Amino acid sequence: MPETLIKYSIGIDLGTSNSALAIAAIDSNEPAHSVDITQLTSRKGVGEAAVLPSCIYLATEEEQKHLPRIPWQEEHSCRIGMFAREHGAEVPERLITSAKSWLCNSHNDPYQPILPWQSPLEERKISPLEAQKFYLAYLRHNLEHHLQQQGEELDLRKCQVTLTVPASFDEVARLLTAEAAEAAGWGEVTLLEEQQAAFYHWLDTNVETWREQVRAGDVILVCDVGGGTTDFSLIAVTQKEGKLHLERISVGDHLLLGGDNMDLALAYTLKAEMEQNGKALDTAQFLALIHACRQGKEALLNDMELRSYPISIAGRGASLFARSRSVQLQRAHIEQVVMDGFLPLCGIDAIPEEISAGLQEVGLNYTADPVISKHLAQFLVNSRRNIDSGITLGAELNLCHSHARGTEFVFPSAILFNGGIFKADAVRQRIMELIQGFCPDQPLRQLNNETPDLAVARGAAGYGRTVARKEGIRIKAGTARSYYLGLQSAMPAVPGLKPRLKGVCIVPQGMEEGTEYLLEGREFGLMTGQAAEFSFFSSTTRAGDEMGTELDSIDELDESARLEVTLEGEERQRLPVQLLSRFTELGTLELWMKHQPSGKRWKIEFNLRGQEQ
Amino acid sequence: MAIFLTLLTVGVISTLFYTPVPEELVPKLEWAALGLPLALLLWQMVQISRKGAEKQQQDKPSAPETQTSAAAVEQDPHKLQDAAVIQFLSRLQEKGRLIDFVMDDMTPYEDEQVGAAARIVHQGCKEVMGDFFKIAPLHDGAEEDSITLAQGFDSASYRLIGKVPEQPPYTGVVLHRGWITHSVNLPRVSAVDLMEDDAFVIAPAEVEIESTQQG
Repeated sequence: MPETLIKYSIGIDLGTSNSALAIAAIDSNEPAHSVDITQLTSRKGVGEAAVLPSCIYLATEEEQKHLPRIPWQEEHSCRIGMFAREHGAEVPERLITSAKSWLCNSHNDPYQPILPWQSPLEERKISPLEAQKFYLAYLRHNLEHHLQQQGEELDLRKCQVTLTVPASFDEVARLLTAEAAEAAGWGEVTLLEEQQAAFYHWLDTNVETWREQVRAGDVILVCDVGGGTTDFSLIAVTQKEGKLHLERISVGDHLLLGGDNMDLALAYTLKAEMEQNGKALDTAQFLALIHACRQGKEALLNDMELRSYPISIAGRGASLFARSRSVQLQRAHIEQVVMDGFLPLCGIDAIPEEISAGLQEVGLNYTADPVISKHLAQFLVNSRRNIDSGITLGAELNLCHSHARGTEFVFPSAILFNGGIFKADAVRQRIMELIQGFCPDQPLRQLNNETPDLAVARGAAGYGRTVARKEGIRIKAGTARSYYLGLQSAMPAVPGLKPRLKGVCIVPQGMEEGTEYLLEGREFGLMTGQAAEFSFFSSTTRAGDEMGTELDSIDELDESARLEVTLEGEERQRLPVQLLSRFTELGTLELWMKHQPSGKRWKIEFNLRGQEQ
Repeated sequence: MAIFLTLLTVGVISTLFYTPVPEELVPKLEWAALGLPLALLLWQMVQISRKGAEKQQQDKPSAPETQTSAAAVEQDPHKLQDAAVIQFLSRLQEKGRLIDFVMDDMTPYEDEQVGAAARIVHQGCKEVMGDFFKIAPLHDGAEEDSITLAQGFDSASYRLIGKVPEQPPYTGVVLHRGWITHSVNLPRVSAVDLMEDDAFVIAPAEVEIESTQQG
């Protein structure tokens, strides 16, 4: 399809807790705008909202008869959106949340029906992948419906579709997301890191002035704290032949930690206070308390004059007067629980605590240490390690050395905040203060993001327009991680001693879209007709490794899904093959085994069966 | 006009929650706070749902089940209007416990208890209002301001009381700033609901199931 026929660029933010949709006309220079999402807003009403809560409620047969229908939905048993979130919170065995986080959980097969997690309703369960497909199909129908109302048909052949994923997603989770989009009828989508999308949105809304707001040598921290996840990225500004260039030089780990944790922590604090006064709360009352804490947190953070926020929790029965209970959310609670609990000032050498207990319940890999400040400090140190290991840039970066503690790290010169909690000035100020504290004599500034909850979808649509038009600035990024094949070291067998695995780099960090590399000098003798398995690892801090770089040990690498390949052939024979990695234009990774003499290729699949710890 | 009056009443009810009220006035204000807004909300909902009904008839000719519903609506447009009002009440109850507040007997309770309940109603109803309307004061200045309304002033936005001459200009004091909504984003009532028996249910009875039976 010639690019000129592309009419719209569509951006999809498939979030862990909320999803959003944006659209930009290719022939317009206006920033992308959000598409309202029609959804069940209550038990009786259908309405529009800018975001779709990423929640699925499994309605009973009886309920399905009474719940209003949305204009297009054929499937009535799975209800998505605001109603699902609100009602489902009281019926947890029927509520699916955080499906996205299961995609990068290497201990569970994303194709297995496991959600709602730990629900006894076995026959109703769906897989994480299917849940993602549901949301994506819902968003597609919604777009179709909204275009129809404007008298237009949605023709995906004339659309550039960009779907965002966290920068911290590994290639397997990215691939799964692309697969869900295709199954949901979006066709082939381009993947873009959410944190880059937020940055593209900033570029789009500062089209005239961004070149004055940043300069060569700047490193911009994209600090993204959503409802349930936290992600950091660094983008470097460099200059080549008088022109500014942007390059994403580092991404952080996927942290299951966010604004919702703060509301929950506040609610537990108040619950304890109420129960001390002899007022036990049931589940629904506790949910109401969490909701009230969220509102109270926002009120207290937005108005520093406010000393406390009164909260009343209704009893379950109809008598409001007899059974309501009151409690005050004090400014001290915000200071102690939110600011000191999650965002305390800390040194650059702070290290997040890991879970030390040997047994952890199988489930989502919730981040053990809730202190976001420590994760941020660790990220800046790791980024420095990554850059030192081999990134060459066209300009001096703001690398900083903490004299007192002897820690080397990257000091960002500017921060772009994204995510709902950063609507509050006080929270942004706290992060500024934290980072400034790492390096008090270097200047630090803030880039303005007016819509921290919609920027990702809009930025994705804006990026899609840049791609379709083949003009405008792009962030040089490529793969965020480097990938390794685990191979057994050749050594004499010793009883009781497992042969050590060594790693061979098969995808260097920053491998660009539309390129492929052959692993030279290493042949694998594989039997045709027989599945061969390989272990697969990744790293976010080894930018210097090139195709074929060997690592003596895989200890510092993160384990990813296993790889599996079967060379189909008529007779059983051993074929010498070479490994070929390819990073597609759409941003997905493909690995192949290639038989040089015949030119034949076999695709290596990611084996996602849950691995035992 | 309907919107103006309704919003005025919405204003009154929220002012009531915030202002200390002399003991002897409480019963009267209770009735004013409860009766007025309900009546007016009802009226406004009727107006809005009439528009909604027209819109729904226009843009939903596709699915067979909405066709039958549209036919049902044609037969009895009042049903859709009623359903729209009940739907709105339902939301006010769900989030703001408004029906519980109004239907309970308030007399045996202390002000402290009433105050705690009022917070729930205030917070919840405010959220619902915020979802559906964009409400702002109508008069930009403060109350007690002097004002002169010249020939050609927006007569829908001002209610004149006291000694009102036949012709403008009118000079007076703003007693109440008035309210306006800059948008209306009410959830649509599904015509399908009208076919069901639950159209009159404002809030279903809640039953907690202790354990899931496996079958």
